[in-house]
Amino acid sequence: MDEEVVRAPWYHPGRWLPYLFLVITLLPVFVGYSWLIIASFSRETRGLTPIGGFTLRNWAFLWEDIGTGVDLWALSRQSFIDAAHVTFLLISLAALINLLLSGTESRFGIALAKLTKSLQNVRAAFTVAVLAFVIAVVSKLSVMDLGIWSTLLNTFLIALYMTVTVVLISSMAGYALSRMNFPGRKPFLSLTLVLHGFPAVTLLIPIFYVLKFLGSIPVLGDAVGFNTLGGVALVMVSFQLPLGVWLMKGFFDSIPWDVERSALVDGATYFQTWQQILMPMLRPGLMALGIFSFISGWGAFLIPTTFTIGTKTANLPVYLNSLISDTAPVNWNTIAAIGLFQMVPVLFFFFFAQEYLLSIFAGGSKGAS
Amino acid sequence: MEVVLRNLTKKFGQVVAVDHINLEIRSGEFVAFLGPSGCGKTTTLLMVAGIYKPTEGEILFDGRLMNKVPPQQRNVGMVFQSYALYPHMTAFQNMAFPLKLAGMSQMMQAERVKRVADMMGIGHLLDRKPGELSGGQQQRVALGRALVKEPDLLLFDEPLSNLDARLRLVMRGEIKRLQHELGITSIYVTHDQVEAMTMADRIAVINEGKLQAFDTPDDLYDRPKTLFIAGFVGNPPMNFFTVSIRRENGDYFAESEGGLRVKVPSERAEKALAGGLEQVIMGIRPEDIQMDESGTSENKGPVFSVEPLGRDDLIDVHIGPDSVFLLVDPLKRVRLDDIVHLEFDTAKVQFFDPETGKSLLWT
Ligand SMILES: Nc1ncnc2c1ncn2[C@@H]1O[C@H](COP(=O)(O)OP(=O)(O)OP(=O)(O)O)[C@@H](O)[C@H]1O
Ligand SMILES: [Mg+2]
Repeated sequence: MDEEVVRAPWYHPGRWLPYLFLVITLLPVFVGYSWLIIASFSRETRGLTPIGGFTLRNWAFLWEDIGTGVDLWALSRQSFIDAAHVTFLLISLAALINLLLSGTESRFGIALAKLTKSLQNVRAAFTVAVLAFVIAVVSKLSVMDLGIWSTLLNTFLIALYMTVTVVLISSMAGYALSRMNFPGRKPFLSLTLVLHGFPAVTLLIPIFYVLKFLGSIPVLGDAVGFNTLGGVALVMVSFQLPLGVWLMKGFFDSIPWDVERSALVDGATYFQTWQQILMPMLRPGLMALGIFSFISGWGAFLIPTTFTIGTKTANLPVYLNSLISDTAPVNWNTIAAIGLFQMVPVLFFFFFAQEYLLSIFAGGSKGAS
Repeated sequence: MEVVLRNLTKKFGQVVAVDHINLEIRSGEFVAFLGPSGCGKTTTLLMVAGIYKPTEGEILFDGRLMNKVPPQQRNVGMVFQSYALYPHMTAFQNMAFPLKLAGMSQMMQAERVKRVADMMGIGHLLDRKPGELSGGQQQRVALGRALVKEPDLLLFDEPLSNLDARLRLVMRGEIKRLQHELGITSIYVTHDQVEAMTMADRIAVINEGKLQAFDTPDDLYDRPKTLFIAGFVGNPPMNFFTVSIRRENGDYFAESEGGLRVKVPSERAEKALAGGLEQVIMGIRPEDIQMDESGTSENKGPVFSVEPLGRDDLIDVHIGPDSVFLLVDPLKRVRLDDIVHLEFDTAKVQFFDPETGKSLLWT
């Protein structure tokens, strides 16, 4: 964009009209956010002016409600031991399977042997260990009462679960819908679109029954039943999927068939084609969808508030809502602080991932001509 | 490598894109697929490359059945009609991709890519992404990518369609020379006749998924076996007249109902008459018809249109209901509605059966 652009003179409406329009329409939003920031650091506000000076008292929720008896040292030690156990077990199991499979002729056996063999090096073992450690820490934290931090963890887990699942399923479904012609493809596409148009509210009661039913299944019920994080995330994933599937279908549509074919002719296996051609071309699209899902999971209120009871499974928006009670006086400044706190990851994404977010409307394959 | 297609057929639902094609391509041969748009050329190439599964029929490389061999194991190089460059890779990475997959060392990759790129005249563009290249440059990168891995079989799907006339001429020569030097069996799809005629050892003419002819360029031009081939090969196309052949004083004459009457060589006329047909279709190429300035020829008519082609003017003379196209020197300044006399050189005249469209001269 370094070429000279011919500009109209300043008095030409084309120069200032768009700005005027933007400023007027965005003013309420701008004022709102200003209040949020000011209020979260003041004792009281009248309009946008703080009264009684600034304070950090509103942010006390960050350290106040943390339950007693949380021993971070013990937690990490225990997690470390758990991770070591799991890693040792996995690697011995892999070695054992590999040994048993040595000399096998079947294709599946050979593939499995390859996989188990690949686990037997330092890097793979280290990766497994780190993963196991993280999972151990998270699962231990998630059952503790850490006040706002537990809520934050819940929010994060819901958003993460949603991001991973939506991206995974949408990219696979999108590929199939874009590339394959199977009976029922058209109806399926229009059905997903219709589903996306349904307001979630209308489905709350039937979904309640579904979650109740899921909860009654042994083992699985503890993960995805009523009043579990998994259940909430599951419901939100299904509301997000239609959009995701359509977006990914669009992204795949924008990649010409011939590019894939060309890779195959050039000697790439199907996996290499996927990994070295399709994924890099789709990266902006995947990132955009991932960020979108994360943000909508992060700010979700309706589903979590309907399908969770109490604070153990609440996420930030639900927690925020619980502070606004009809009987007790509401401290709006604390609420402003929590609201701002909740916005941090969103702001973060907008600063660092704008480019990807914008590409969600630009076909998703960068550099395609 | 020798390539054999046996009864090769591809159906997309009801559409028969390729219809029982039989071809034997000799090792090192350069074969052109020539045919109008939508006749199944690309589909055939994709089957040879292993992308499409044939609905029916067999593909053999050196006698080995390839139907079930996946594309990555066929060692073919292909230039796609849409170039199909990888947009996230630079031109260099695009061209090095097949080499990288083959496990070649980085140094060897760089050397090979550089050599081919210089030959294609894109050596200075190697660090650009496809989006930053012109259509012609992209096409040359695609060409380079197919060539670097020195495959057993090269498939070109209209590789020069986006180049300007001059560059096309140069690239034609380059491709032909390279193919000859490396001795790689090649299939070259085009709907440009001149390209096919000048480059190919043999041309497969395809129409509506069916193989119409598979012959050397000379045979196609001088000894067309069907009416379709005669009309399709050659530019401007051959003139056709429905005529009956008469014998007078030992000479043979072809007469149309509209009054056209030309003397034809007895050898060819006898063959045309051998089938006992009342009427036959006679074909004469525009370059075998001249304007007769002495004005003695009995074949005359008004000029209906004049089309300047640069070196020649293509004029359309109406003799009764028959339209005769011929090339004249622009200096003669032929104008519309001039009455011109025509002289026919019938040494290369062709005769066809009006029912079957088969040649009465060649089988
Ligand atoms: N994937 C497909 N599904 C359905 N029909 C197809 C498909 N691919 C090609 N066809 C049809 O098969 C016929 C042959 O197509 P093909 O692409 O081989 O033509 P072509 O000879 O390469 O034409 P062109 O010179 O325009 O590239 C066409 O009628 C086309 O519509
Ligand atoms: Mg084609």
